[in-house]
Amino acid sequence: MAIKSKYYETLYVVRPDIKEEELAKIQQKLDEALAANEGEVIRSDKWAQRELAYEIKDYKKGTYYIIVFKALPGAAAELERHLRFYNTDVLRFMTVVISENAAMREKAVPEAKTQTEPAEAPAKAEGEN
Amino acid sequence: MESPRDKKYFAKRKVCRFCTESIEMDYKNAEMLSRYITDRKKIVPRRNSGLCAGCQRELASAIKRARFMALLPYTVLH
Repeated sequence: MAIKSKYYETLYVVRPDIKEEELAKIQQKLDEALAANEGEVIRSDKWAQRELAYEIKDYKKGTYYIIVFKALPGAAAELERHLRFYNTDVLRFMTVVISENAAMREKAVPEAKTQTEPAEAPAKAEGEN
Repeated sequence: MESPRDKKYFAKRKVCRFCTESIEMDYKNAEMLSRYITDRKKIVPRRNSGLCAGCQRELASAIKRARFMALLPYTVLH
């Protein structure tokens, strides 16, 4: 039987003081990893900047990024391999298999967000500081 | 004579909130999960949480995932 594509959700935490170009480099690697393995990205964006429940490598805060994608299991492993490689910047990462329904809901989220983003972004920043 | 042991308690019957309100179990929703951990950050047992077997299992794994991602603490001693 052929191996089926599954829906995955990867959440990773980067250190709060990461430089923009370093982050861009990591994200580019992740995108490449998925593209090379015929992965279909459903959602990829910043999830939250929040206080960590406990310190990781002396960091008390972290920025969470989320990727929802559909791919073969090998692609998920490849993605994790890249995240592991940048372990000085990426504090934690986790990939979980999600249901198709959950993945489709995620698809609806970014579209709704882009419409309300200008109004939402400043309010969010104030709340966090 | 009636001993204290014979006394009958009529506890309010709990229904599983996750089944009745069809809330999705999500490890990213730390706010929701934090309702099911004690002051000492332990997972609330089924007899107190009132969840059905399946939901309690899902809850436990969601809390453990959240702990790993530093969304929830493991203990109060961090």
